[in-house]
Amino acid sequence: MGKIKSYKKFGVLITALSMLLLAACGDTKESGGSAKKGELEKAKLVTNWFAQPEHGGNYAALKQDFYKEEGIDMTVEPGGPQISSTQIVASGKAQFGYTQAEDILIARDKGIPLVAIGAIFQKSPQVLIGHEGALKDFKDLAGKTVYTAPGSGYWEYIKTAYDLEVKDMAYTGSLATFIDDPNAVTQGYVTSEPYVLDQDGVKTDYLFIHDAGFETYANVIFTTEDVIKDNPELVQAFMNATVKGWEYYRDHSDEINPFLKEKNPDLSLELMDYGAKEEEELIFGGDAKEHGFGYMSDERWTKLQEELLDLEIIKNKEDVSKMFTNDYLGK
Amino acid sequence: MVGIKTDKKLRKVLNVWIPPLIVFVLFMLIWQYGTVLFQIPPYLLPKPTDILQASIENWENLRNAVTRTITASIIGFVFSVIGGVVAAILMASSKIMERSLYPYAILLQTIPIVAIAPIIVIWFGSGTNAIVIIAFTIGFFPMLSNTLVGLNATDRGMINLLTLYQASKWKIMWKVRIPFALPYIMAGLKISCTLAVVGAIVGEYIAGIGGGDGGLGYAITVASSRMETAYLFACGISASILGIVFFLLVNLLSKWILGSWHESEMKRDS
Repeated sequence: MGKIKSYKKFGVLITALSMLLLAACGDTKESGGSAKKGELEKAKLVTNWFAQPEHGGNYAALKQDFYKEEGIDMTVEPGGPQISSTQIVASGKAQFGYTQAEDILIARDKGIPLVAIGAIFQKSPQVLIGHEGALKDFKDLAGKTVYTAPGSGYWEYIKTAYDLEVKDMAYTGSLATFIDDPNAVTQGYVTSEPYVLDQDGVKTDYLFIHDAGFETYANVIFTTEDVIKDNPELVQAFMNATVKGWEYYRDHSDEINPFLKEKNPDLSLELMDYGAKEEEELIFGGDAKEHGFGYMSDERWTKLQEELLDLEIIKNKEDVSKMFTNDYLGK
Repeated sequence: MVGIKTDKKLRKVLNVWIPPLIVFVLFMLIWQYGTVLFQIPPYLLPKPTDILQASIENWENLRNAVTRTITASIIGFVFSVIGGVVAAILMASSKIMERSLYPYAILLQTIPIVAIAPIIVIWFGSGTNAIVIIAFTIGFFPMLSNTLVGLNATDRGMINLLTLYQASKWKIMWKVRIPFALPYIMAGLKISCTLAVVGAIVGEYIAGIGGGDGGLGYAITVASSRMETAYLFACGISASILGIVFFLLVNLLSKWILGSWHESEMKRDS
């Protein structure tokens, strides 16, 4: 009798543990359930950096209550250097995230079913910055000391495409080592670093990685297949407000920037002003001119996938229509 | 007689090795089949076999990374040993020196390494220099403070005796104080050697050389940005193995140096 009892106890323990685990994994489903009418539905967006003009539209939508009008109680959580938005969204702790298009491909390759639902930047603001006169063409990168984020796909691509011999260094976010060395090249965002360097009296030249042929979509908004399946209304409502927010930010960035500064006091209003102006063409130009904000094309996703396959960063070819959708844009 | 002796030895070995081995095997089995049973996706928690496979697939990279990290940590470690012991000798030989320098040594220790690492990078540039200096900085203080305690703990009677024989200050240092401090120095070595590995990896994290020349810290950042969780585990495990091997080597050295005379390393008859 005693033995059976202890088996039972053990069984209960095991089930309890597995339920706990299931509960922890089941976050998405819970919050994915459709909200009752009249009640705001909670949703969370994880960005890829501290609040800055590159996320301006979402903060605009937050400040102007566009999310509330769509029935969403929205939280925008800033990312940071050691925060992986893909993992947070994949684990169901947030419904939406910001990342680069290549990260969606990498995640899907590893079996994480993410789906891009809009691209902020038609042309990536990612640039390679050199000292004035040192960088006119990608071929000039040969022999330079180059600081790039560890594992970044675009840099592998450029090195292979231009057959470069360089001194590879890990990008740390600090510009000091770059300023010191006339032979150095650093990665950066056109919306920020050239301005900061100019303020420090350092004149620079820069090249868009986009122009090297690595035409990734920068700052893609993404969610998971589960969220789309369980709660397409939420995705639609979120994107309605987001698109509206970005259009608002285009025309009223000077009104929203102080709000961004509240969220990230380290930013100066001048820098944000510069950023907002620099990014406008990158966001609303290109395909967005014709198809509207956030549009993504089949060809570019396919091309990006091929480039990553060639570099052996991903291993499996997949139908690109599974990894992105324009369905939730501009309705 | 001999048979009994080896039998005893064998039993001792079994007693020491079997229990942790059983725990290890059980742990691995639970990990392997638990992840399958609860369907935990491999990007959150890979199975041990996934990790093994990832290490084999990325063997070339992993070996390079480990070699880089070993080199950086050994150089950093050697510097911190030399620096720590020399600084401690200087401080122990003059009270004024100790009083004026020790607060700064403590200051160096209390600033978190991740906070000063970016400054080190600004001063010495990215790459090997910065990594070695970070490894040195983190291993330096335990060496210094342990050695200093050791040097100051020398038997007064011995020093008085040698002073009576009119031995010079340096002779006393060399003949009495340093040998007496050896157990303390060894204790410092044991702490510093594992810290040097930590320091090297932190350094590579912050100031790493990229591409194929990166160490474990760089490999860890790449693996995590590419969502290669299994390889990430492989890197982490390699790092901890590295630390353990370092520690065991220093332990061996300590046994060899102190084994014949100091209580802490002498075999006790049970």
